[in-house]
Amino acid sequence: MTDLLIANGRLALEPFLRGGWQAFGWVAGETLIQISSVLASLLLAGRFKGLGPWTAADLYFLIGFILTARGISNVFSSQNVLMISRKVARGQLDHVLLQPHPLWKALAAEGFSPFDLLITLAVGIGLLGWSVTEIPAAHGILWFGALVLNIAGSATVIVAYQYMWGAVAFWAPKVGEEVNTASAAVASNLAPYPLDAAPRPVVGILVSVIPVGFIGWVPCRSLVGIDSTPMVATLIGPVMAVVFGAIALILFRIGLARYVRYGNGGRYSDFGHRR
Amino acid sequence: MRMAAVVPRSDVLVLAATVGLRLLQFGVFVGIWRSLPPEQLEASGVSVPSLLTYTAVSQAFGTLLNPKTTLTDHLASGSVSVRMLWPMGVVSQFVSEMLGSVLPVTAISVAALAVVAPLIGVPLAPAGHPVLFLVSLVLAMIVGVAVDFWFALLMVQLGNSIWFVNEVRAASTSIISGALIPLNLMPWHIGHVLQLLPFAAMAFGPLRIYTQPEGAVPTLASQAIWAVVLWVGLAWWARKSRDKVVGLGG
Repeated sequence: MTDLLIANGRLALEPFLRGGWQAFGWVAGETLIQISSVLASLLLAGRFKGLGPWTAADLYFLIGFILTARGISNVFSSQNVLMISRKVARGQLDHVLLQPHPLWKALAAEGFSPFDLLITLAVGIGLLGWSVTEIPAAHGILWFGALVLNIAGSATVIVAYQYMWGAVAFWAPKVGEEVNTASAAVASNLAPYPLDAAPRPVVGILVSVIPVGFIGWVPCRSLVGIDSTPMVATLIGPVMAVVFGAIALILFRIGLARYVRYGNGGRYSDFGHRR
Repeated sequence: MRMAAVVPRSDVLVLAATVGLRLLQFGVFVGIWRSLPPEQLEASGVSVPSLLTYTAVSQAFGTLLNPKTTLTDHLASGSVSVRMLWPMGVVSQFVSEMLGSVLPVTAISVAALAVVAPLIGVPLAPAGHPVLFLVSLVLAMIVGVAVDFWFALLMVQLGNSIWFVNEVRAASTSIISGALIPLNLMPWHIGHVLQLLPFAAMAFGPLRIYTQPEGAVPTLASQAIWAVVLWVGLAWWARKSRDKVVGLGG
């Protein structure tokens, strides 16, 4: 695995070594996308010094937490590994299945791209580090252990969520791609906001079929001490990450069995045009 | 336009996802506006009900407040050369195609918001004059299409970097146009600066006219000025960029 990661890391470095604006354009683009997705939340924190039970420092912590988790998940899932519906719908999963490695290993290695999101990760970790000094609940080795566990859980939820909805492409390739794009937009647009005062049906959807709440809101609520039993509550995020990971794995395996039998459903015409 | 308005059965799920995303975003922002300290809002001259209405209208008309034609896609794939052979002007064909695809989505979003908003206590009655809002909405779309074409030409100048241009555009416009947060609520005087940019004419202008009883005339004048400036500039830049358009893409 290490050799595969090193090889793919070197490939990811190539555009930078070649010079030119393309590689730096990617980094600038990725950074802008990630920062702008949390910008509204950042502006609200700057303007109102808090939202309901969340202080401004809590909100900065939430934003830093999400940027860090998102950065980590994306480091291992670029090249459309996170947008798995595209690989499925376009038949590119064949390229992965042909490799003499287990599917998970081939995907993790192919998606490994540690350089595109360097600035985003740096901003996320920086914001997280600064806000931790402002949060009274942040103390002790246990708390920092819970923080690391929750960031890993949040990154897992991001990947699991995309694979849950990306699996639609096994049955409906074209629609699956579009739905997966919309599901990615939901995660990007709604994750950086506290959901405390949102209408109940909205919260219900965002912690179940679209588990955006478990990317930032639920884990950060317990970490900043809004929940009354913070140390117990810090386990909710990681436990739910395991649950959603298992659901994604089951759905993906069912879809994969269909893919092995039927392929990508005749998405391409005989002369290679994508329908 | 009529052809683009036909939604194939296979796209119904996508349409539902688009409208669903708008409803979820609306719900999340309803919670956020209700969590804000009222005294701080009053100091900004804004009330919670007007903010709720602002977000409802923004989500209902969202596709019109940030219009996007397929020009960049056709430029990137090279199929724009085929479009040049159509017996229609470039602007009219892309705009009519866009209207055909966004009007049904907008109609469904408006209907959905009209049902959902009152259920959660969000007022929808306009504080400003509805006719002025409609005029402002048309001006916003004229400015929005010009901005879309400017981004398409930027892509031509950057050698068909469709991903970069599309992502930068998507990432920046919803915030700086005021579609998510009213510009007058932004901290550190950012809103004052953003109100001077053309993006404010795309969303903040019509939403402000809908939710505030006064200040419509300067807003409409600003939108009209931006529409003229952007389209005149666009005609000039399109002539300069014509030789760089690639008819064989990838």
